[in-house]
Amino acid sequence: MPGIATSGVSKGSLPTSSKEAVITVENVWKRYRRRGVSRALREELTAWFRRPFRAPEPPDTFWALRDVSLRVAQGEAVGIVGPNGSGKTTLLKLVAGISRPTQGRLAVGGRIASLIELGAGFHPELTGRENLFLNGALLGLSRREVRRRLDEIVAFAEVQEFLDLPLKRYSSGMAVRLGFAIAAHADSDVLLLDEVLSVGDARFQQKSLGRMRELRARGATIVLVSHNLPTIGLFCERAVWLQRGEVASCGSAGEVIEAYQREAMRGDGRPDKGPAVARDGDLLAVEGVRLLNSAGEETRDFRYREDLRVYLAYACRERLVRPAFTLTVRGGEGRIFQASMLLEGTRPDCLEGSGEVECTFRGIPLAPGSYHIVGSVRAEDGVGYLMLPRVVGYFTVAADLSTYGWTSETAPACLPEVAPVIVPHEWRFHTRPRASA
Amino acid sequence: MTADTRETVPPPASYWRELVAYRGLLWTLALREIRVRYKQAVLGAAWAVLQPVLLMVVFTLFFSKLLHVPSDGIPYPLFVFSALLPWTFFANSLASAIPSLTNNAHLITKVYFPREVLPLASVLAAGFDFCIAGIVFLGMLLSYDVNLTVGLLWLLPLLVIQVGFTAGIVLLLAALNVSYRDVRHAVPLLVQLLMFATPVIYPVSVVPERFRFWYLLNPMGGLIEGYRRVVLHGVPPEFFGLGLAALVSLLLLVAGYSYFRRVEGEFADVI
Repeated sequence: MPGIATSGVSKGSLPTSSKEAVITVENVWKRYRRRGVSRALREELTAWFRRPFRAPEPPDTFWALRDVSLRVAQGEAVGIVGPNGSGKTTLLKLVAGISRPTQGRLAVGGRIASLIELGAGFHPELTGRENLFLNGALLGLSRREVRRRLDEIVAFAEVQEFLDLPLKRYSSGMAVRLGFAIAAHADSDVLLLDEVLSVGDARFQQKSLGRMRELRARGATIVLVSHNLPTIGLFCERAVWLQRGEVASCGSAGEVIEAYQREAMRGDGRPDKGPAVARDGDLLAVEGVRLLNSAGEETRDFRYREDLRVYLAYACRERLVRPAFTLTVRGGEGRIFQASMLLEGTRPDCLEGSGEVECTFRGIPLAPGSYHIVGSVRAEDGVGYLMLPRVVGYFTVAADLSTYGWTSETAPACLPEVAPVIVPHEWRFHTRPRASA
Repeated sequence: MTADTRETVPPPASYWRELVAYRGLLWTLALREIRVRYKQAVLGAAWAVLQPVLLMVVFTLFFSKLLHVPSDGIPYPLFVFSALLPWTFFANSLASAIPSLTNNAHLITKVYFPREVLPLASVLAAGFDFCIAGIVFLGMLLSYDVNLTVGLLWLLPLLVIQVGFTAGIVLLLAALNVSYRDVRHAVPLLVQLLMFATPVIYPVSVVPERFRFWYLLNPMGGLIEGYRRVVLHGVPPEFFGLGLAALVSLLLLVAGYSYFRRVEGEFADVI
C-alpha cells in the first residue's frame, strides 16, 4: 500500500528499532502566527525593511504544540483529550500531513484517512454520487475502488434514494453520514478522527462506533480526538491528555480520562502539569467487568429505571485489609450516583486472591445518553488507594421516549439540555380565580 | 505497510509516486471543475468554443481587415485561430489554476493530499475546453481545404512542452498566491500584455532578426509558431525556437515545482 502522508522536518536520525510503530511523533513543536491570515505583499515588504529591528521570535506567534512525543503501534487505538485550544486538532493535522511541524520528527506509515471534517470537498451543486467519487479520491481511492464500495457506502449512510440528487438538497445529517460512510470504507491503515463519532443520531453513532471496531479488528490504527470521554474510554486502550500544547499525561485510557476529569472539575484551574497517574502501583487489579440488566442478560444498553448489576472481577496482589470499593456512575457532566463501601461501612474484613464483587443499582433513573462507571478501591485508612479511580465500564440508556413520558415531537430538540437524572414526577396547576377590581 | 514508513521529508522520487497514487483525485477534481463550470450554464460546453471563436472574429475584423496585419499567406481567421487555441488554453489554465489553492482553502486545511493536484487539475480542465475548441478548429481546417499530414504528430511534443511550461508557471504562481494575494490580481494583466509579446495576432516574421532570441525566450512564442508551421504550413517546427521553449519550460517546471514543494507544508497554516 502506498505511504501517502508524511511530512515534517527531520531532526536526527530515524530510529528503526520499533518495527510496529505506525505513527511516530518525536519532540514535535508547532508554531503558528496568531493572525492566521496571509499578508499582502505591501506588508511583507514593509516587514522586510524593518527586519533588522525585529526580535528573533516575532511576538505575534504562539506555540500550539510543545515537545510532544507519541508512538502508536499498528492496530492500536489512542484517544486524545484536552480542553479547547490545547492542540488536539493541531496534532491530528500534523499526523495527517496537512501541516508540518516547526521542529521535531514525525513519521507515519500506510494509507491515512483523516476525518477532521466530514465531507470536506463536498460540492453542493454535485450529486451525492459525484461527491462520493470526489471524496473518495481525496482519501486516495481510485474511481474503480469507489465504484466497488458504492453500494456498501450508500447503505451505511442510508441515503439510497437521494444518491442522484444534488447535495444542496440533503439535510445536514445526511451529508455528514455520507461523509462518514465514505471515510469509514476507504480501507485506510490509519484513521484520524476528530469528534466525528458524535455525528448523527444516537443510532448512527452506535453504528459508526461499530464500524470503527470492525476496522480495528482488521488491523487499522486509530487516533481519536473527542470531548466525549466515554467514547474514548470505550474505544481506546491508551490516551494522551494535552494541556496548552504539552502532554500532561499519557497512559491507559481509563487513567488518563479519570485524571483529566478530576482536573477539569477542579474549577477551570489550568495546571501546567497533569497530576501523576499511577500505572502499576495498584495492589488490586480489575480483571473484567460485566453489566447485567433486570432480566439478567449481559448488555451495555439499558432502559430507563432498569436495574444495573455490575460484576467486577478483581485480583489482589496481596492480602488486603478492609478494602473499600466505590463504583461511581458518571455522565458527560460529572458524577451522578455511586455506591461506596467507604461511606456505607460495608467493607469486607479482608480480601485475597481473586474473585468477583457484585453491586446492583436498582431502577437507574437516567436520561438517554451514554454513561461510564468509575471504580476505585481505598485502603484501610480510607485515604490511600489500593486501586486508583479508573473507568471500568460503559453503558448507554436508550432513548425510548415514551418511558420518560416524552413525545417524539418535543424531545429531540431538547435532548442536549436534558438533565442526567429523571425521577418520577407529576405536574399540577392550582389555579385561583383572578381578583376582580 | 510498516515498511512504507518514510522519513519526514520525502525524497523527490516519492513526489512522482505520490502523484501517481493520487491520479484518481487529479482526474476527479478536473471533472468537478468542468461539471461545476457548465452545470447551470444554458450554453454548457459551447462556452469553450465561443471564447476563441469570438476573439477570432474580432481580431480578423480589426487586425486583418482594418490594420492589414500580415499572416504569412494564410487566411487570417485560420492564422489567428491556430494561435488563439493554444493561447486560450494557456491563459485559461493560469486564470483558474493560480487561485485554485486559495479557492480550495477548506480542503487544504482539512484533508491531506498532494497539493499540486489542485492547480494541475485546473490545467487539465482547461485542456478539456481546448479539446472541444480543437474540434471546431478541425472543422475549419477541413472547410479551408488545408492538407492534414503525418506531420501533425508534431503536435504531441508541442503540447507536452506547453503543458510543462504551463505547469511550471502555475505551480510557482499558485504557491506564491497563497502568501501574496497580489498575484491573482497581477496575472490577468500580465497575461494580456504577454499576448502581444507572443505571435498570436501577427507572425514571428515581423519580429526583427536581432530580437529573435529574446523574443523566443517566451516559450509560448516558439510553441505558437510551431503549431502554425505544423498545422497550417505542413512543415516541422523550427528547432531553435522549439528547443529554447523546451529548455525554458523545463527550467521553469523544475524551479516552480521545487518552490511549490518547499512551501506547501505551510499552505494549511497561512491560507
